Amino acid sequence: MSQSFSSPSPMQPLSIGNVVTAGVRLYRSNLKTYLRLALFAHLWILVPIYGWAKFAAISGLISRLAFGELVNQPESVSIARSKIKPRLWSFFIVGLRVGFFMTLIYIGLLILGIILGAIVGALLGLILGSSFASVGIGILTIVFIIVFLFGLIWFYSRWMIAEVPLAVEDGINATQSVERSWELTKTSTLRIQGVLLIAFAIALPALLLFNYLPQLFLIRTPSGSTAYWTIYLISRIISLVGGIFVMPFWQAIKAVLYYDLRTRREGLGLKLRDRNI
Amino acid sequence: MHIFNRFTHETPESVELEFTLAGIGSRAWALLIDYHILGLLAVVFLVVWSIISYQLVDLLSSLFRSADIGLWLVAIALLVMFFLYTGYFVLFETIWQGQTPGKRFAKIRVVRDDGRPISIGQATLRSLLRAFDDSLFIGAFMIMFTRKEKRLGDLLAGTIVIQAESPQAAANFPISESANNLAPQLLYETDFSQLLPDDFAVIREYLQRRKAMTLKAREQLSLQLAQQAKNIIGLEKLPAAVTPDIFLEAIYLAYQNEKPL
Repeated sequence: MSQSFSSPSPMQPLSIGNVVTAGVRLYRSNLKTYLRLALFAHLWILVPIYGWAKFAAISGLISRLAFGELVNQPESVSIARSKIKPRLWSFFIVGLRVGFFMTLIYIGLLILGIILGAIVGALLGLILGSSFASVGIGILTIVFIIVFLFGLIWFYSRWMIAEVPLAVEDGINATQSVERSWELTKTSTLRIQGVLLIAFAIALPALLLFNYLPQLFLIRTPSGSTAYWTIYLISRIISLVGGIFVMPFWQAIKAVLYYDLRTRREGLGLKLRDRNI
Repeated sequence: MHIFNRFTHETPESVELEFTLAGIGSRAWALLIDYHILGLLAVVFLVVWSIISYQLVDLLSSLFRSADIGLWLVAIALLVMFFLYTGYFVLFETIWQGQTPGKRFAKIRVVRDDGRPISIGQATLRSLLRAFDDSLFIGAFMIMFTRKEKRLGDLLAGTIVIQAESPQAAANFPISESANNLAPQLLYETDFSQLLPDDFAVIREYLQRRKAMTLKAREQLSLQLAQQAKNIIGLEKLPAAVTPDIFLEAIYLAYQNEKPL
């Protein structure tokens, strides 16, 4: 048997680190294909509505291609595209749905925080007196911000792979795709957050170069001036270029995550050998 | 698609050793954990050190009659921080056979190119070059884009980072009473010689992991596996009285009884 003792068996679920590694390796071995698709996707962004739907569909397409390789059924781009094409608007709806939910949650958490903060702040003021209360409120604000961020990330990790089922599975619509993401991620939110963290750390060089560095120049320029708008425009273009490089990475990671979640939750790949008697 | 980067090393005795390289994800994960621990240690040290320094600075100034005592204390603190940063990795990689707390958590391990445990010298070399590898993400790029995933420290020390072997988890799933009854009957009536170790492994894997699966998927999968297993052992049709899960448990038991491990 060629399989070594120490190597993880292919049917077993992946560790957090291996999810990210697999994403990187998929991206690396399909660099040209993925980058070309990402380039077109980012050009489509410039066209409102229809272009955005195209962007969402091409993102899904990359995940589909990546997933195909993971299950040893690779597809050519043209075949995968023909499967994706009729679902163009479904991808757009998935994006809208998730965006809408996330906005609701964002606002909800914010309102909840303000109400809770006001009540606790008032109570602290009554108990401790105003001088100590400000310290208490300071600590409270920090705690709230942490809870707020974790809450957002928690919900985001539940919907992280929302468009992947739509890209991969047959006979599924936008709503079902979002629900599948919710169902599959149910017991894995912490692991997904680990994956997000590592993936973010690895994407950091690209993010620094394309997104954060150009922003630095903006800080020093007086806002409203021509120079400001020029730099703003350039930094937007640079971050769009950065997106071309980062987007396939995320889509590959999402595909691996989806693959891994299905392995865990649905026993994907567990199959006895076929026999023709 | 190879999710894992495997490579084989041939020993002078012509024994082939296969390793699965750790991969950028697990290595980044391990580093993130280690740096958080180190950061915590550094903060604790700095707090303690500044409290001590604050108490001692007057005493020491009068003792040594030097005005620069504050600078000395800062210098010592910097030195300790440096040793903490390098020593942490050297210490753990040496005493834990190539693992730090982060690596242990991420289930990876540093070994020599030929798979033997690393020496203290190699651990030191890796640790000293870590600062270079971290600057401008040089190490990360080298891990991602080279075949053996070696960062500068690995290149110089002659080490590789591999996935720590995880011994197969002991079977710890419940087996129902009816499966216990069904197993001998299956052994008696059917032919288990056609059921290969690979098939058994799949059934075992299912039984082990079924708890984490969704109800719907579990129903489908167990039925499918039971059908396939039924064909392999040459049974006419699935026993009507038992669920696919119980049938698979019985096969698991019967196989073990037939070929004792």
